[in-house]
Amino acid sequence: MESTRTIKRQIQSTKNIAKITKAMEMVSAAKMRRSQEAALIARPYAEAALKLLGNVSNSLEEKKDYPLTHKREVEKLCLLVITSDKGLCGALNSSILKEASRIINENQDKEICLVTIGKKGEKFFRGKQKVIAVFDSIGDTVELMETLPISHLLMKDFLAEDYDKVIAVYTDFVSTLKQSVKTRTLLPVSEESIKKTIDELGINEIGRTKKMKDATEYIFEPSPEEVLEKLLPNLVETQVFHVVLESNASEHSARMVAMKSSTDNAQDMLEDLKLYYNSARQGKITQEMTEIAAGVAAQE
Amino acid sequence: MKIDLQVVTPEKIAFKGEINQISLPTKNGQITILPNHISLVSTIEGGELIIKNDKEETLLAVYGGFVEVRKNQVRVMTDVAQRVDEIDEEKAQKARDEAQKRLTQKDQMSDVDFADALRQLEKSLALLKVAGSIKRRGIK
Repeated sequence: MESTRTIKRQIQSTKNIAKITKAMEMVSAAKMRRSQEAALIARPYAEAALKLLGNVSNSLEEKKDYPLTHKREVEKLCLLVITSDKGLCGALNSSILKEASRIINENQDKEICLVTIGKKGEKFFRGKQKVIAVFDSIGDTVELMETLPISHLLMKDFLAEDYDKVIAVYTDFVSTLKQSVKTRTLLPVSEESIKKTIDELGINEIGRTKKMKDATEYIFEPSPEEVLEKLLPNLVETQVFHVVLESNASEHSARMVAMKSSTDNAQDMLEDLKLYYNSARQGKITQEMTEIAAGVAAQE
Repeated sequence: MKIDLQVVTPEKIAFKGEINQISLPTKNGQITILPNHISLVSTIEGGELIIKNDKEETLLAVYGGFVEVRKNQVRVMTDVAQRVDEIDEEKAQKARDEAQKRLTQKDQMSDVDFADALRQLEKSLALLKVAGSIKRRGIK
């Protein structure tokens, strides 16, 4: 039988752990609420921008070629991997990194470079892959301004033909308990990729996005070129912002849930340890009693 | 016949509802959209957005973005949309002055900071413009 003192020490340290995880749970819960709100509020804008581009894309196909829609043979692929800065958020980061690695394995014949958001992704890929840019410490409340450097970098390099395709790997926030890893083609902007994204959003929440209807001819003011030249970069900016927000909301939700379950586990463990401690203590007393009884018997 | 209007910014939904008409500042000047308008896509400049529903009038200061008209559905996507009574003139002025000051130190700034300052300046100017024009016309 282990000594009661060791068990007592174990109980104490488990208690401390439970206290810490409980505190982290509270912090994450507050952050979660804020980041979820931000993600949900940004959705209508991102959807409106997507739908608009989806609607005008029919008119877009026949018209002039826009640099951002330019489809090239994919030789160089860029992945935008969005992870969290900090750990302790369950399987969130590992599933993102798994998905990213899967894409890299699938495209081994191509040249691959990475842009990472979040320290976890950077740490994982540094040295293994070509990481061209790292963005971290984006913070818990993201503003559009903060993601602009990311989207501008992607667009600039895409236009300079440093890579031919940009895919974002991120976590889509479905609910507090469910986050799913998603990929989204950011560049080139094409009709299929927009439709795919819209469809995916539509599947996520029934009624959130309707399927696209027949094409309408639009008047463009002042001209289609001018509108699209503004609209296309705007869409890319919005999409980057949107995926960062979704990932952020997912991160805090995942951490909240992870911390909650570890607090629960610590409580369970405490109960077991207490039982164990009591039986050890009882055992010790019984033993002492028998020893005394034996001592008395020997004297008689 | 009414128009189904939605004004969205990256941070919030600024307006949602059925309305009679809407005026907005586009690249080609202020336009008004009435029900049964033909499908249209245009870019939005800084200025005021006037929403009329029956006798009720809502004024929003907007800056940058797009408008899409489609089958009596109007979607306005804009970077900034603020209700007139929400505009804090003093704050906007302060933001403008600060942005101007930052822009004068251009050489020591990174591109990102420069773009940021420029945006701040344009945004505050748009807000001030709307606040000013409303004052002039004597509406609340």
